[in-house]
Parts: sequence; C-alpha cells; structure tokens
Amino acid sequence: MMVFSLLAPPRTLRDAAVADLGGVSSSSFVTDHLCDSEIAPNIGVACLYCDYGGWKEQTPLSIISSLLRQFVTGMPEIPEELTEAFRAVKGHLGGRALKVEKIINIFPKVLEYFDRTFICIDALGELRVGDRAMFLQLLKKIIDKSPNARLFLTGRLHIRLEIDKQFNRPFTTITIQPIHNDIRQYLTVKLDNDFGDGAMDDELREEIITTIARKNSEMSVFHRFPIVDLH
Amino acid sequence: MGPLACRLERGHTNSSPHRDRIASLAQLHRPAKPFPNTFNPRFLNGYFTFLTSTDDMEQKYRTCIGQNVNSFNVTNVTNVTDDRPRILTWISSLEPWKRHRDLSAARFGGVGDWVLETPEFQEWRDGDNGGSSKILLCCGIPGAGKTFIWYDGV
Repeated sequence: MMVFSLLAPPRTLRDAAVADLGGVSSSSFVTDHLCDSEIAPNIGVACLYCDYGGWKEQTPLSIISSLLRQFVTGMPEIPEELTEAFRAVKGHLGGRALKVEKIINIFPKVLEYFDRTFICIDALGELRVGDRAMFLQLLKKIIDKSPNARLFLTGRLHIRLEIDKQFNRPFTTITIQPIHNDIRQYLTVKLDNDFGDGAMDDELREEIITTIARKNSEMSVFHRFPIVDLH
Repeated sequence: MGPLACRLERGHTNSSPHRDRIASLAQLHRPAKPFPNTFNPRFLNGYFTFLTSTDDMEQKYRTCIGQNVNSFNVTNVTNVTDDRPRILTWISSLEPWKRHRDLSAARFGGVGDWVLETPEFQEWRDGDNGGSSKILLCCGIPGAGKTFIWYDGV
C-alpha cells in the first residue's frame, strides 16, 4: 500500500497510477493470504486499518477492543469471563465499556483457543503519536503472553524506531518498493478498461506503460533501500 | 458454554414446563463440533454480506444462527434469544471488516505477490511458536515530490 501525504492530491499521471495502486493495502493482501493459508487447523486473524481521519474512534482502547472482538467472533462461544463481565455492567450507564486491564487479561486467553493467531495493523503511522505509543504497549503485553500470536505491521520507515523502543525484541522488517512488473500489470489492466474517446492506440498505450514504469524505477533507484533486511 | 446453555445449567429453568424445549435449543446453540474458522474466506464473505444487508444487529445474528444451523443439517430455529450479538457489540462497535472488504475488492490479482515469497515473510508466518521473530514490519520509502509509502505495491 502506499500512504500519501494528505497535503496534496496526485498531480501527474504517474502519481495517479501509483495512488490508485496504493488503494489496496498490504494488510488486506496479507490478511486474505493468511485466511486462505492452511498452516494450522484453527487460525485466527484480526485486522485493523488505521486512519488519520478516525482518531476520535481509533483510540488505543477501542483498537484493542476491536481486535479482541474479531477473535471472539471466531470462537464458537463467547468466553464465560466476558459474558459475566457484560452482565455485570450492562445495567450501568447503558453498559460500561471493558476496562483495559480486563482486556489485557483476557486477550491471551482468547488467543489460546486458536492454534495460530495473526494480528494485522495497517498504516500504524496514521495513529496519533501518543495513541500509537500506548497502543504498542498494550500490544506488547498481549504478544508477550501469547506464544501463538504473530504481529504484522505496516507503516513508514520511522515506525521502525518506535517498534524497537516499545517491543524491545527482535523483529523482521521488509522494506517495500515499487516493483516494475507490478506497475506494468496495473497499467495494463487500467488501460484495458479504458473506454475513452478513441485516442488510444497500441503505440500510445506502450508509451504510457513504458514511461511510467521507467520513471517509477528511476525514483526507486534514487531512494535505494535494501529490499529486505533483518532488524 | 453459550448463555442459553449456561442459564439452563444454573437451574434458571428447572421448574419450567418448557425445559425440554429450551434444552433442545441450547444444544442447537452448542455446535456438535467447533465452527469452521470464522475467518475462513468463504465464511468471511458471508459474514460481510449479512453484516451489511440489514441494520438490525440482533436480526443479523439470528440470521447467522439460522445459516449455521442449516449448515449442520439441523432444524432451523429463528426465535432464539442470545446475548452474543450484544456482547460482541459491547466489546467493540468498530467495523474494520468493512474497510477490509473494500480493499480486498479493489486489489489487482498477483500484484505484490513477491512479498509472500520472501523467506522473511514465510518464516514469520510458518515459524514455530518459539521462533525469535513474532513481529513483521513492512515499511516503505518516501517518494519524490510528496510523501508516500509503498507497502506491497498492490
């Protein structure tokens, strides 16, 4: 996925193509892949897409709660501990929310139901700094108590420093760059579906694909980073 | 144990003339075997569909119960009450699966597959629970002219 600065919309054809490509995040891509995989008989997958515009709703507590809900939904029955907690508070103030201590306590127990669990968080950098730190601290508490849990995160490069600081444990980083073939494949599909005013011909089509793919590659070289590195 | 079965075992219905009926309903609530993984894509697609097809959460869940019961080839029961949907909503009202559904639908097949083929991803996915790396971070570079990040080029 590609996360754009909100300061300016795409201004060039290349930007538009890349922006459109970025419409699907790796988290959804990876989440679908994990759901399809058969690495264990009973896999639990939960995902969340962070959003700049959703900071009021996406607090650390609400995000953790959402992840918990997704795993609980995957269980045949709601754990008794949660059911009792719900019954204890449902008559108060319309049902007081779960406390963070309760969530952290019960989360690993819920994950134990599954053979393997994956938590996918997309665009971590879109959380506010303070919220992000607290959210990562909560995640750490859960991960530390859940041997079967795997965490998939996406974000900008600087996120690595925060992951390192908050988790204080080794983690693997894959640095993503635009791939020439991906650009070509995307443009081919888009042009195949272009039913414009008839100006398109094979020559123009090839020029568009070649030019955009080449410029994208040039920029990738300029911003060269290791494709994969182990932190 | 489901709430209905729970109430039954606690004796709330011991004196009820409908005890046998409730007991049978409780059995329907407790599947003979664990559900297929809820996040199985086929189940997930159905889940998304029913979640967005109506605004009444409880009605959605009753519909879901009916579908699951049918899948176990048992008599369909639609008048069962249960706290499950209310508890799930109480845990969280966020609906990230809607965003996931939209993103999945917009994806171009095959683009970005190289990420899944990296040894780092495969070790993270397949490694045993004692593996050293439980965390996989995908991060990207800033682009020219404005900031952007590629995650997997999809």
